[in-house]
Amino acid sequence: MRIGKTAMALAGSASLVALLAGCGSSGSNNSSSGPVNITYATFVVTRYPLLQKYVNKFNQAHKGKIHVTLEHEPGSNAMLTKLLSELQAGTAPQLVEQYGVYTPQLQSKGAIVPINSFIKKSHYSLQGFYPDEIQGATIDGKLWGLSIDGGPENLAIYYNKKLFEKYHVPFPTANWTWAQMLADAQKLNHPTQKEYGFLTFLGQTEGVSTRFYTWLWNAGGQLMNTSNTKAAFNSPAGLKALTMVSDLAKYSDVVARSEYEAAFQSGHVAMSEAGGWNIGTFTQSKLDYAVAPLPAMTPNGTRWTSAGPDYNLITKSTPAQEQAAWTFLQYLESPQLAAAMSADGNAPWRQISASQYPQYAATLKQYPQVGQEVAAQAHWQKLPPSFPNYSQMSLQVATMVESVLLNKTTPKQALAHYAQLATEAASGGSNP
Amino acid sequence: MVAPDTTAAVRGIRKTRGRRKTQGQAYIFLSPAMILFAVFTFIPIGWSILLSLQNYNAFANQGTFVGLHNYTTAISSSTFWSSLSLTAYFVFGSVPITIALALGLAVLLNRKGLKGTHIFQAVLFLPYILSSVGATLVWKWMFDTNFGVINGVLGWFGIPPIAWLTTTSGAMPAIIIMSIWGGVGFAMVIFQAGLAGIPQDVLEAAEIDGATRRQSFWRVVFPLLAPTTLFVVIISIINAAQVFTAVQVMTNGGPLNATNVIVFYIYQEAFQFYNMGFGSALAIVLFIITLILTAVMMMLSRRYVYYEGEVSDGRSS
Repeated sequence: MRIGKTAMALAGSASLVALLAGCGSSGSNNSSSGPVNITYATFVVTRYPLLQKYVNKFNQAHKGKIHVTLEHEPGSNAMLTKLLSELQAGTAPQLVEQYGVYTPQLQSKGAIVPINSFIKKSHYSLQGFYPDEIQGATIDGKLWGLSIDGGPENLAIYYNKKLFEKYHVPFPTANWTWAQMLADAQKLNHPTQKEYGFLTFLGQTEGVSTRFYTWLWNAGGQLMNTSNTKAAFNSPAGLKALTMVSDLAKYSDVVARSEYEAAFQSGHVAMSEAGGWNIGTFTQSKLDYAVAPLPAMTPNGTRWTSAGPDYNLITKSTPAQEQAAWTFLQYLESPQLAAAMSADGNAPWRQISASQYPQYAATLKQYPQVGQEVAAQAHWQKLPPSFPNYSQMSLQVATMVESVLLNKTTPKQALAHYAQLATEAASGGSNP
Repeated sequence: MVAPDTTAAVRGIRKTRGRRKTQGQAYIFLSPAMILFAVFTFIPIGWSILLSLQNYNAFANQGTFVGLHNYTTAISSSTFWSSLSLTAYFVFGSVPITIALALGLAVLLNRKGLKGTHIFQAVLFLPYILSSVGATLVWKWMFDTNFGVINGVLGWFGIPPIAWLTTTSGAMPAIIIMSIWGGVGFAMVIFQAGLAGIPQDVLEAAEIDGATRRQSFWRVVFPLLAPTTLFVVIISIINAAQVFTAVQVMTNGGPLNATNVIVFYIYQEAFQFYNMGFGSALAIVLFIITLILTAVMMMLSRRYVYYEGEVSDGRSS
C-alpha cells in the first residue's frame, strides 16, 4: 500500500512536470505534410464578421495548403502592447493589422519583414493604393506593409443634421473656417438640455494626438523637426491650434474615449471629428448625419487631415508562414475584396470606382457618407511623422491636450512643458 | 537487562526510519504544489530581481547590468512618487470603508432568527466572484456623466451631474466606490466566520453582567474578532495596493494620470514602453513596501490582537 501511495505521488509529480513542460511548447504547428497555419489579427471589431466570411472562402480555396485563423486584437494602444508581448513570447500572429504610425517601432525591433521581394516575385501591382499609404509604410527604401484603410478613412467633421435644423444653424460647407465652427458649436451647445455643440474625448491615446495634429497643420505648424529629433509644436501655430482645441471644449461634451462613438450616436452632440470607420456604426443607430471637411483656419487656408492608414504587416516567422501570409495578404488587399468589405459602411482602402465594382456602388447608395468622406479629404491628406519612438512622443501630445481640456494648464504652458517631454520621448531619453 | 535496551534501540531506529519515510512521502505529496509555487512564484520573483538590475532588451533577449540604476531612477522619478501617493489614496480610501461595511453587514447577518441570511450572503458575495472586467465595464457605463445611472439617481436629490471619469477629482473616487462594492462580500464572509467562532458562553456572561448590545459588541465581540480583523486588514491592503483591472478598464490611468497607481505604472513601463528592467525595479519596490507594511501590522498585532487560548504576554496557556 505504501509503495502504491509513493508511486502515485511520483506519477502525479511526473505528470505535472510533463504538463508544465507542455505549457512551454510552441503552439504553432507546421508539419511538412499538413497545411501552413497562419493567424491574421484585426482590431476593427465591426469588420470582423465580414472578414471571417472571406477568410473562410480563402481557406476553402487553399484547402490542404494554407489555413488562416482570424483573431481579434483589442483596439487603440492596447493592440501594440499585445503584439509586443506576443512577439516576445513567440506567439504573434503571422499577419497583423496595426496603426500605421507603429510600423517604424515594429520595424526597428526586427519584428516585421519587408514585402518588396514578395511583390517582385509575384508581380504584384501597387496601383490603386493612395500614394500616402505607400509612403507611410516605406522605411529605409523598403515597403513594410499594405494599407487596410487609408486615404478615405481619415478625419472629417461628422454632424447631426437634426440638431443643426433644430437650432437653425446652416450646415457646414466645404469652405467653412475655424471661426464659423466655433460660432456654430456655441449656438448648438445647450448643456442644460444635454445637447452639445461638439464632442471631445480624453485619454492618452493615439486618437487624441491625431486630432490635435489636424489643428496644428491647418494653423501652419509642424509636429517635429525634419529629422524627427525635436518637437516643433511649441510654436505660434501650435498655440493657435491648442487654443482652438481649448475654445471648442467650452461648447463640448467631454467624454472618455470608450464613450466617444456612443455619445455621437445618442443624438445629443451636433459635431464630432470622426472617421470613415465610424460610418457603419453611426448609420446603424438611425442617426441623420452628414460629413463635412475639416474647417480651414482662414477662408483660403489648408484643410489637412491626418492620413493615418492602418497596415497589414507580416511578422517574422518561418519562410513558409511568411509566404503563406503574403499569399493571404494579396487576397485581402485585392480591389474586389475592398469593394466587398465596404458593404457595412466601411470606406474601401483602395482607389476603386462605383462603376467598376457593383458592391461599392451599393455601399455608396446605402451610405452616402462614404462618398462625402472621400470628397472631404481629396487632396488634403498628410502623414504624421514616422520614427521608432513615435508612440512615446504621441503619448506626450495626448497628455498635453488632456491637461488643457481639464483646465490644468494654459495652452502656452502646456506647449512648453510637453514639447520638452516629447523631444525627450522622441530620442528615447525619457526611458531609464 | 540487555535485551530491553536492544529492543528500545531497535524501536528507536525503526521510529527514525519511519519518520524519514513519512517525511519523504510528505515531500513527494507536497512536490506538485512546491513545483507550481516555484515555477509561478519563486522563479518569477528571482527573475524580476535579476531584471531590475539590468537594462533589458526583450526583443534581443539581452540585458546590460546597470546595478541599482533602475532603483535610483525610480526614486528620483516624480511619476513614481505620484503613483505611490495615488496608491495610498486608493488604499486608505477603499480599505477602511470596505472593512467597516463588511463588519457591519456581518454583524447584521449574524443576528439570530434573521430570515434569508443565505440569500443576502450570496448577493453580497456575488461581486467578488464576478468577472472583474465585465463588472468594471458595467460600472463605467453607470458612471457616465450624461446618461449614467449614478448621476440619474443623484439628480433625484437635486445633485448636479458629476463628471466621474473625465475629471481628475472624480476618477479615483469612482474606482474606490467600485472597489468597495467588489470587496465587501469577501471581507464580510471572513468576518462571519470569525463571529461564528466567538464562544456563546462569553456573550451570555456579558449579558448576565448587564452589558448592553453595544457594550457587548465593543467590549467582547470586537476584541475577540481581532485576529480576523487583522487578517482582513492585511489581505485588503495587499489587494488594494495591487489594484489594476479597475484602473486599466475604467480610466486607463487617466485622466491626466489621476489614477496612475503603482501597478498600472509598472504595467506601462514594462509592457507599453518595454522598459522591463525599470518595470521590474518598480515591482520589487512595491513588494518591499507591502512586506514592510505587513511586518509592521504583524508587530502591532502582538500588542493589540488577542488570540483565544493565549495569555497576556503572548505565550500559549
